[in-house]
Parts: sequence; C-alpha cells; structure tokens
Amino acid sequence: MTELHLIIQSIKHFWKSHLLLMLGIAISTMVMTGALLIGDSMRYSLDRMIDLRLGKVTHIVSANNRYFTDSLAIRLEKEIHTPCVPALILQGTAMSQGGQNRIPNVQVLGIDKNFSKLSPAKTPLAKINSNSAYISQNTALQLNVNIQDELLIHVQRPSLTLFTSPLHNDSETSIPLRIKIAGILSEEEWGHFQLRNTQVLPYNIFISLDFLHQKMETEAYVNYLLIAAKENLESAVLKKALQKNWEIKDLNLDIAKNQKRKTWEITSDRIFIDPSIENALEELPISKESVLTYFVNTIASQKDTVPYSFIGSVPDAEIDSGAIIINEWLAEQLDLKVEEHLKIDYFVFDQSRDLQEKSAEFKVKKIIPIAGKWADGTLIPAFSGWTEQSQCRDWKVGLPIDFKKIKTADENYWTKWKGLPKAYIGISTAQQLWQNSLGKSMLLRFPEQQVSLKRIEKSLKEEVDLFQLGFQVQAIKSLAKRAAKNSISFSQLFFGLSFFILLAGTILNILLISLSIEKRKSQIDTLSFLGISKKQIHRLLIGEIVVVAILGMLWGLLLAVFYTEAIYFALNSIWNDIVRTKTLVNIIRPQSLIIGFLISLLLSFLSIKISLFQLFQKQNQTSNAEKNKKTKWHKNLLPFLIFSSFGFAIAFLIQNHIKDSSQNVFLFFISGALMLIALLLSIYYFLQKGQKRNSTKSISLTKMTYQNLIIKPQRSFLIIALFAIGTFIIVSVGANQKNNFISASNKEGGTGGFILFAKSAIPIADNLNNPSIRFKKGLEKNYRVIALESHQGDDASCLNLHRISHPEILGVDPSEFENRFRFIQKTKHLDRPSPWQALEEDLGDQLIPAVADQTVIRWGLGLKVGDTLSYTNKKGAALKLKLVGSLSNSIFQGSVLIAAKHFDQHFPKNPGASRFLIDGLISEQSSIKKELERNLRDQGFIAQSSTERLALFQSIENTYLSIFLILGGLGLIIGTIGLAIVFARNLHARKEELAIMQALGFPNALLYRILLSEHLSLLIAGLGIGLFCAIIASLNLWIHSDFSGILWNIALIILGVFLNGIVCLVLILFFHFKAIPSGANKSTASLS
Amino acid sequence: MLLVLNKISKTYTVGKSHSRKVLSDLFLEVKAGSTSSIIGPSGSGKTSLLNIIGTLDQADHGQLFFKEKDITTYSDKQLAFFRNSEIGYIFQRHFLLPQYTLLDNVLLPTLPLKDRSLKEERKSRGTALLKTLGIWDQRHQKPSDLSLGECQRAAVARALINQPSLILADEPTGSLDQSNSETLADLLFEINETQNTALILVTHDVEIAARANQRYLLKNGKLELQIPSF
Repeated sequence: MTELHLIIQSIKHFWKSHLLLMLGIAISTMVMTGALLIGDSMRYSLDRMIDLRLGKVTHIVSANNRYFTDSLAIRLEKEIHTPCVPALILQGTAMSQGGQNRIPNVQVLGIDKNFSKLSPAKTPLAKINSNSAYISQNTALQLNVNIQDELLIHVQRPSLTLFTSPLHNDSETSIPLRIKIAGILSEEEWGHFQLRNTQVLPYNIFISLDFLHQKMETEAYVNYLLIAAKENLESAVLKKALQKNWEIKDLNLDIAKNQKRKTWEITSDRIFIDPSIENALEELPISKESVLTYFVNTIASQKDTVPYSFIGSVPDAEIDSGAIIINEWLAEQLDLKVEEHLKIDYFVFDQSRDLQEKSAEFKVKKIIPIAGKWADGTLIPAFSGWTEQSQCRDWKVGLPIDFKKIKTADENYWTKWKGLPKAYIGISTAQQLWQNSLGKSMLLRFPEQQVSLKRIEKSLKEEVDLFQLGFQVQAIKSLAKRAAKNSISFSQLFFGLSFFILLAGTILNILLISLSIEKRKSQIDTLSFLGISKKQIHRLLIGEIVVVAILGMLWGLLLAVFYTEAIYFALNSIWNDIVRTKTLVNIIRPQSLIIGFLISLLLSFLSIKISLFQLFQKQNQTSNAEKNKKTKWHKNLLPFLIFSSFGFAIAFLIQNHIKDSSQNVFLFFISGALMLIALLLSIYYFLQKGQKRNSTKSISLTKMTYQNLIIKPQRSFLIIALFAIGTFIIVSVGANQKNNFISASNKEGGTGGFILFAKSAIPIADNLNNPSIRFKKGLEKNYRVIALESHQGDDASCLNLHRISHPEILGVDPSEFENRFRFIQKTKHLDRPSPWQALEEDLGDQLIPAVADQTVIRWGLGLKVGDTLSYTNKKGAALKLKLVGSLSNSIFQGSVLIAAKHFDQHFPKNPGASRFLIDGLISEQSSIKKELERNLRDQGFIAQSSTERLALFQSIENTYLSIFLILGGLGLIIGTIGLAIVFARNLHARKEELAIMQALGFPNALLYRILLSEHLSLLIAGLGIGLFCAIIASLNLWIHSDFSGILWNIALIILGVFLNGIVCLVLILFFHFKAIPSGANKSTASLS
Repeated sequence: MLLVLNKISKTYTVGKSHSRKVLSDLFLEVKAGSTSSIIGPSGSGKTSLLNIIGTLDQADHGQLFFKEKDITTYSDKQLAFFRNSEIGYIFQRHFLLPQYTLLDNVLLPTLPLKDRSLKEERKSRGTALLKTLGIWDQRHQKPSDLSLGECQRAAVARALINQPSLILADEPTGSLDQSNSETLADLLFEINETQNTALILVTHDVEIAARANQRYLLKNGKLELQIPSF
C-alpha cells in the first residue's frame, strides 16, 4: 500500500475524465511550445539567411556614390592579411524572351574569380569569365530561363561625373548588355548574395568584372570591397589600413606633368575636384593654380554671336573680376576689340534639376593668340560624349543643343582645336558662376620646380581623410546579426496571438480539475475520516493530476511539432504576406521543448492549486467565524472594486471625448477593459449574493434557471468570464483590421492625394516635368512627377522582419506636402499651421528633423516620436535625425523623410532620383502608369497605385489580425467545449433531480428548455458582456473608420461560437436523454 | 473516562437571517469498552453529534476530551492522527472507494503509518479481519462487483484495521436488509466485547439501540439518558 499504487489505480479507474484533462493540457502545451518553436525557427531562418546572403563576408568598404580601383582590394588584403575582394554592384533591369518576361529591379554584380572564396559553400562562381553570367534561382524562375538562354539587361552606368553639372551625358545612365546564362545558382551556391538586411530575396545576375568594365568602357573601378575577417575585428583597424593603402586613382584623381607649362596637374575623373582634396593641398607651402572650364551657350558681342563654346579660367592676378581674355579666333568671329564688352549665356541646374539659363557680361581685357600656353591641350576638358567626337553635330550631351546655330567656322574650330577654351575669366569669377556641390575646380596646377610629385602625393595622403569623402567601413555581418536578433520576436508574437487559446485552455483545465475533484468529494471525505491527513490527501490528488498533466504535456509536445509545421506551412503559403519569403526553415530545439514543458507544468500546477484551493477552502469553513470572514470580503471590498472600475471606465471615456483624444486607441481599450472588469465583478457579486438569499418569488423558468446557476456560482462565473474575455479580446483587437478600401483622392489620407508611388532601378537624372524632357521621352499625359532624393538604407516597413537601424532616407520638398497626409503624433516642432515646413529647420549641432510612418517608428525601428536615428553624413561626420512626427498609415512606410535642403547638405548626391510621387487625375491613373512604365522601362521604372501600396501595408497588419482572430476563435471554441463538458457533468450529477421532475410529470421538452436556458444564459451573458465592452474599447474606430468588411468577420466568429455552443449542448442533451429509459417508473429508478 | 463532551453547542446558519441550533450545551461521558446508542427524530442533530465526536465537524462552543486530552485544541495534523488511530467510522453508506480493490480499501487507513513493521502488522490484521468477516475471497474485487452487505462488512473491517478505541456508527444498518442488519449489529457488539472497543451507535432501530449499555435520546439539542424500557 503506497501512495504511488493508489495514484496509479485511480488514474486507471478514472481514465475517461483524465483523457479530457490530458487533451486540455495537451492543447495548452501545444500552443505554448509551438510559439517557442516558431520563434526558434524564425530566428534560425533569419540567421541562416545571413550566412546564405553574406557568406564569409564580415565587413565591407563602400564610398557612397564614389568608385575606386579594384586594386585597393589587393593592397588592403596584403595589409590586413585577410581575404578582400572587389565588387561592382549596380542596379538594372532584365528581360527574356523578347521582353515577355521582365524583372524591373535586378542586382547586377560585377565580380572576379576571388569572389567565390567568400561563398558559404562550393559555388560555380569561381568559373566566371567574360563570356558567362550566373543568375539566382528566383531570377531564372521569374524570367523563365535556363542555362544557355540569353538575357537582355540594362545596367546602371557607374557615372563619375554625376549629373550635378549640365556636362553629364544623360544617354549614359545605363547600358544594355546581352548575356548568356552559364549557370543558375541555388541559395547554397551564393545565389542570394545581398548586403541589405531583409528576408526578401534579391534578383541577382553575376557577371565578370572585366567584362563589365570592358562593356562600360570605364577604368577598373568598383564600388565595394568585401572582406572576410574575424567578426570582432574593429572597424577602426580596417579604417586605418584603408587610410594607409589608398592611392591617387582611388579618389579618381590623376597627377600628370604638363611639359609645356612645367607644372604638375591634378585632374579628376569626376570632372570637379572634391573640395576636401583641394583643401588638403592648401597644406603645401606653395601656391596652387585652380582651373575651371565651363560650357556656355553663346558668347555674344553687339555684332555677332558664337554658339556652344568653352570658357576657361586664369589666376585672378592675371585679370580683373569683370574682365575677360579672348582668343584671336573669337575676336575675329565677334569683331571684338580690347575694352569692348561681350555677354555669355550658360546653363546651370536649379533645385529641381531644371536647366536655368543665366548671363554674365565682361569687358575684353586682352586678345591672345592660339599658341603656346593658350593652345595647351590640357585645357581641353575630357567630358565624355563631347571631346572624343570629331564634329559638333556628333556631340552626345545632356543639354539642349540647336545644331542649326553651329556654323562652319564653329565646326572648323572644333576640328582643329576641339574644346580648347575660346575665352578666359578670373578663377574666382568662374567659381562664383559655375562651382557646385562637387567642387569648384577641375584642375589644380603646381609649379614643378617648387614641389615634387612625391611631396604632392604625401600631402594628399596625410591630409585627405577618406572618410570625409564618403568612404565607409561597415561590420556588415555584426549589423546583420543584430538586425536579425532584434527582429520581430515570433515567439512573443505567437504567444500574443495565441494568448486567448492559452487562457481558454487554462480555464478549461481548471474547470475539468474542479469537476473531477468535485466528483471525488465524497472520497476525499472518506480519506479524511480515515485519518489520512490533508497533506497526504493533497499529495494523492495532486499526484494523480500531475501524472495526468505530465502525460498531457508530453502529448502536447508531440502535437507542438505538428502545430509548428502547420504554422510554417501557412506562413509559406496563405500567410506569406507577413514574411515575404518562402525560405523559412522549421527546426526543433530541445531547449524550447523543455521550456514549453516547464511553463505548461507551472500552468497546470497553478490550475491544480486553484481548483484544490477552492475545495479545501470550503472544507476549512466549517465554523461560522470562517464563513463570516468571506462574507465581509464580499460585502465590503467587492462592491468597492465594482464601483471603482465603473467609475474609472466612464471617466476615461468622458476624458477621451472632451480632450478629443479620439486617436488614442490605448485609452479607449483601457475604458473597455475596466468596463469588462466591472461587469464581471458585478456578475460574481450577484451570483454569490444570490446563493445566500432565499427568494420568495413563485417558481418560474427564470427562477429555476437562476437558482441552478447559483448552486455553483464560481463555476458559472468562470464560464461567463471565459466567453466575455474571449469575445472582448477578439472584437476589440479585430476592430483594428483596416478596410482595404482607401480613397486616393483624399489628400489627408495615407496616399496624400498622389495617385502613384514609383521606383526606378536606375536613377533618372532628368526633370520629368520639363516639357522638352517629356517630349523627348514620350510622356504626353497630364500629370506632375515629384522626384524624391533617396539615400540607400534598409526597408523599415512591416514587410521586413528585421529590426532596422538605418532605414532609407527620402529628401522631400515640404511645400509639395502642404495639407497632405496626417500626423498621428507630433512634437512641439510640428505644432504649427504648416507642420511640414518644420522639416526645413535646423535643430543645431548636427541634428535635423525627420518624420516617418508610425508603423516604421514603432515596429520597424523600435523607437518613438522624439527619439533620434544616428547616421554618418557624406563628410564622415556623425549626424542625428530627430523623429519630430509620425504619419498615419502612409505610402512612405519603410523610409524616413527629411527636407531636401538637409538631404543636399548631408547626404551624397545621387546620379538621379529613384523614388517618385505622381500627382494626377485618379481617372487616368492606369494610363499614366502604363505611359511611365513603357517609356522609362530601361530605367526599371515601376509605378504602383498608391492605394494598392497602402493596401499592401494594411494587408500585413490585417493578416496578423486575421491570425489572431482565427486563434482567438479557436480559443472560444475551446470555451464552448468547456461549457459542453460542464453541461454533461451537470446532467450526470443531477440525474436524480431530473428523474424527480420526470416523475412529477415534466415533459422532456420542458426539461430541455430548463437545462438549455441555464447553460445558454452563461454563453449569452459572456458573449454579450464581451461584445459590449469591446465596442466601448474600440469606440474611436467605430466612429472614424469604415467597418463594412470587418463587421462580417467579427460577426461570423461570434455567431460561429454561439452556434457551436448550441449544437454541443443540444447534442449532449439529446444523447443524455436517449440513454435514460423512458417511462415514469424506469426513470425514477434512479431515485431508489 | 474515554470520552467526555462538555457543553457542546452547534448552530447552523441558513440563508441571511435564519439559524438552527442543533446541539445546545450537550454533555456526554463514554467509558472505555462501553456501548452507547443514540436515537432521536430526524434533524435532531445525531449525525452532527457523531461528526463532532469524530472531529469531522467543529462545535461552536464546548470541549471534547478524549483520554483526558482536549481535542478541540488539536491542530489539523493532530486531529488526522487522532482519527486514524483512535476512531473507526462506519456510515449508512459504505463509502468504499470504487477505484480500489476490497483489500486496498480495507488497508487504506494504514497509509499514514510510518512504521514499516506496524504496517505489516496491520496488513496481517486486515487479512484476519477479511477472513473473519467472510469476504477474504473477494479481496481483489472492486466494490462495484460486490453486494451491499459485502461492502458494508468491508467498511467495518476498514474501521477496525487500526484497532481504534472508539467506533462511531451512524445508521450502519440503514442500507441493509433485515438479515444483514442483524449480522452487522451482532458483529459490532461482538467486536466491542472481544476487543474492548467503545461503541457509539446512532440508529433508528430500537432493537439494536436497546442492546447498548447506555441509551440516549437526542432532543432539543441535549442528550437524555433513557431508562431500559422505552
């Protein structure tokens, strides 16, 4: 006779009811452990993705929009003794089968054979050569191509000149390449290489670097160095090595000797020399000569004009500020003499990249021969598209050239002298007229005799800080791991989403345990009178239930594996919206199984304790003194709690209404929650009170229902509470589902009134609002294009699972957004009639204002309004962006917005814009989209309806809410099962009572009514209270939003639960009465 | 004196304002080895009195001495030990636990015993009791497989296994037929004689009640000692 023997005997005997309890515990364990396993799998998947996309790369070197030599990789590798590989990573478009299949945004990677050394696994990329291109699997799938098929790709041309000067050639922004596919790479073969922190797979095309350089007719420039070092290698070490090993060519500089002038001359492939490089050379103890040459539209005298000429500069000492030196050819053409005046017309770019023609007048100071230093070929600027052409008519330039103006004399000059300047002004005057953000000089000259080449180079090496020129070293792998580590916790998410199932399961377990203990009450009494101590009785009972619970938990752990598989199947299919990748991998970590088991054990233990507590509390209350203690609590504290909860609930509601805090969802939720607590406590109070009262009213169905409910007031309360809480949570949270109907014309809505949001893979330099540009590009319809500057960053929208620290930055013109969009939260900076204008303020000390979508701030960045983001500006200095406001559900989800003015000041200029907003008629949206995409397809221009874009973001939230509703609904179903079990047990326990009623002549139909009314009233009370409080909790949403779609979802769930409850109850009733023999004598047999 | 009840009172509260006093300053003395019977109308408090003696319920006032110790001051642990070692309870219904065999049910009171040798001794005693009561062959069967009489005999064996000083029997023959009732009654009085176990018997059966040394009528919350003919 041991306790264990008794426990085992009891388990065997009561196996049927224990099976139900095991099932209840198994479900809770399954959901809880499942949440942990889902989180594990998500983290593992994201970590795995890091290795698959970065391979062995731990650090990268980049230089914003600069390019540097690929040999820097070799020098750096020698210095740091760790693999360092160059790469040219560009954007482009790809198409196959004659344009039938297209990808508007591909990542084109120019690599050499060393690239494969950094691969996570063996890869055919080692075989890459000029004739081959390798593509990723998803690219092959999207383009429907195989090995040996051909692709046509348009690749962004790495322009060193950029577009800040009218001197760039806009036909050079991309080049077409026809390539043959040599291989299709799986993810293990490094097909999904990308540097951005996102789970969305890139479309990759790998091409030989040499081939790319050859086709682009550029020098061996790259824009990334990929380093495979130890992860904990300090960036400072790499920076130091970089600073030590760069060469002149890495800054796109060239130093050559001008034999004629006996000078050293520094020029830049970027045309303009960086101001910081120029400043670095100030250290040399000799004077330098700066040269700036510019293209002008006309040089005119009173008698004649000469079109399309170059004007150079001379030192200020040689000429006065308002004077000009002209060559004899020009003098002859314009019939000019010294002291006579001339006028020049020239183009500059304004803020919106429109050409503005400006003029300047000068007095002729001197006329020079085209000989000697004035015929110096180095004065001819090497502008691509110009100087290699043999005739003026062959110029390929980004300026509007009226070739009719070019005369034979002009052509002859060009043939003989090419772009040799026809006139010269003082350097200061030239810089005043023509300098820009890229620099103010195109050539720097040093007397050969006063300084050696070595000295110049030394000065540059010592004084130039690479990192002020935009070079950056990033510990990319650590950053990626941090982004993944801090990503959305799917464990927490699914805990939250499954919260109600867990609650329902726990309450069901408490009910089942209570019922089972209650059934054994007489046994407990027997053990008690046999002198078995309370402690030992507890041990026997708890031991029995714990063994059952453990069996249930083990069952639950097994189910958890299948549950996780099911969730992952759903995430890779119907719920793919929220993860946007199909590469999620499911893993089972033993630690999570153990933790799930332990938490379930704790919950089960709590359930047992609560159930036993109730039982033994009653047993302890044998004396009246004990009972009086309980009554006092009911009499005093409970009413106080009820009235307080009601009071606070109403106070919150009134306050929200007065303060017009109608946007404060949280406050409304609190009101609803307090109302729920108040109502539930009231129910509890009246049930307890009713138990003590002896009603003198005559018998009726209502009285019978009520009397039966108060026999076990706590059980009745538990069931009502279960349904009330479940309904409250589901309805109040579900009401946040956004209706996908969005009006594009509403300027205060999330679209800002813009009809399209567009992106281009290859930046577009031109102003697409300029009539001549529109004509040239075939853009005929009536709309306005707002180009947004963008600084590359990670996507911080809800489409990215990672926690982002550097989102994409967009530079916007605040005047374009006046009275558009809506701010949810604002700091005092935005508290003004035109809040957008506040973005142009300077907050001082490298702090600038920024705004972002509320979702981005809260979920993407994990911050709040008022917080700051840290960046490094184009000069390598720390820059902070202060979040001064948040936008409500806007199309800007994923990015942070700053004023264009601040963008120009702090971030590197791009070769063009790649983000656009289109303002036009909603009725023409489709045709405008088609026109833009067709005519700008080589730039990979994709326009998305702004309402669709917004709906996409909303659909993510809605998917999460749908999951919540489904799981919550399951929780309510569990609740109805609990109700059904209680019902079945009640029927069994009241066999005698029912028999007496039958003996007294009650027809079955009446008995059904009595029994159903009791239990349905619990269900209805619970659903009703929950629904009422949920409506209060989400009142602001009901007032401000359109609920046509959501109401149906919620109504369906509630109706489903209600019908499920009725069906269960009716079935149980039916089978119970079917089992009872009919006829008064037989039915009353149970009474004897 | 084995048992002394001094000024025992018990009131039950019904609803908000009603109460019923079932025992009012009750006094009772029971000698070791004696037999006492208590009769009284329904609702007079007979079961309440037995429950108080058996420490299954608490009196509102009064003292209860057992072997000259005040039981009312005992802790729960002490009371459990007291019940296990000194009291044997027999009810109208057998209250055998349906999931255990007859033998398990009979040996149930030995569970709290810590002394192994004592446990073994009790086991032997259980065997002897089952044989004496004629239900040894049914020892491995469950209560649902046995007759009421057999179950009630098992309940008696269970009550006696720890050699209690006092047996409390509350309508022990209430569920039995005439024949079994007589058998059970004979058994109880025989145990009293052979083992010197005191017996307090609550019964409606006047013939069985008459067999006791002391006969009481519980009326108006007090015990009235009855003269032999009633």
